[in-house]
Amino acid sequence: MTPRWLVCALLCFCTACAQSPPPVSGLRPAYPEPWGPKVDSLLPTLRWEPFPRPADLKADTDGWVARVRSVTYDLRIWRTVKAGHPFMYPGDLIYSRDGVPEPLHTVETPLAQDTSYLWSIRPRFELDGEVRVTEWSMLKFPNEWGFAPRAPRVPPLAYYRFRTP
Amino acid sequence: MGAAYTITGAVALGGGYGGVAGILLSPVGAVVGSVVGAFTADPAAIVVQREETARQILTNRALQEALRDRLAAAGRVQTGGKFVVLADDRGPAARDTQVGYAALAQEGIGTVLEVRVDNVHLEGGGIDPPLALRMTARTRIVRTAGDLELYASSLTYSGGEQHTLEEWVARDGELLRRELERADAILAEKIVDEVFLLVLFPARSGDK
Repeated sequence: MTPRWLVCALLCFCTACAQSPPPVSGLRPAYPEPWGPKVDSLLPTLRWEPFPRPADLKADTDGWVARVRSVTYDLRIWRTVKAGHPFMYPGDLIYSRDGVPEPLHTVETPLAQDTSYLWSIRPRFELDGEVRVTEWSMLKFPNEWGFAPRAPRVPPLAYYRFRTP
Repeated sequence: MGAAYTITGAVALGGGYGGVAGILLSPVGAVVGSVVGAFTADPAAIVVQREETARQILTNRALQEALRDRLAAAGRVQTGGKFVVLADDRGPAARDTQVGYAALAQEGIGTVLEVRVDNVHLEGGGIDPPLALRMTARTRIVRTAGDLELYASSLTYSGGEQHTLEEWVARDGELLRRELERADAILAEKIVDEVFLLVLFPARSGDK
């Protein structure tokens, strides 16, 4: 069902990812890497870059980042549904935490063995007294192919991936 | 092919679009759901029966109300705001109808978020194909003073679960009902994010 050109493009993208860090949208994970490595435990400690990043402060022409207070993080882990093509649909949401105080979290309930998961994080913070979030983090595909965080189609197919031992 | 059903609803809010209590207008009107491309080698009578079962599940579920209620719940949890569901007759009466909300300003309601399921169907192709659920919801934010539309958007849920029509409707449609709940949850969360919470990163990761 997936167009051949799309599969070819995806394979090229994967090859490129093997040679350099894959582009991401949002916060980049520090562990595991975004593109599907096997984690070291059924209770992995997931880590990601903190918000705001130096690049956010540098690009903050409106000045809103400087007004951000009380930054925490939301974390989601989904079971993967492959659905017969190379893209990964998020299936059941099996783990969810809001308000994680640091840019890392050790999963508190054991994941299933030898299973593929998708995961994502986003900052949650106060801005001028209101709760705000940014987009969920995910892989960034060439030309985005409609999988960008704000595409008019949900759920996204580009969340970060890992596999349990 | 299969039949249809649709929903219309509305919500109101505070937060980014200014003020007051959030309000949800109850759905009115007809929705259209269907099975698309479900060609099969099974006898026609069985296929018709399965499609009728799927249609009944969609029809009986009150799709508009289900999404509206999910949206109100998600809005309350995620924003701490007050969401009020408006009475049925305050929302659009049909799919292509636009109603005015100016009268609500007199009741202290500043903004209305209208949400409407425009389409829901199972989609696939081929002979006895795996089918996936698609559901499209439109949202519209209207400032009641002056009936000024501030925002309009459309989101489509495209699920990863694929099953044959027989599998979707088995056990009184257990899989289909579950997938509909999932679609509601994902659409509601995304709408709340987009309308109330989201701020875009000033820097794209690739810019670093």
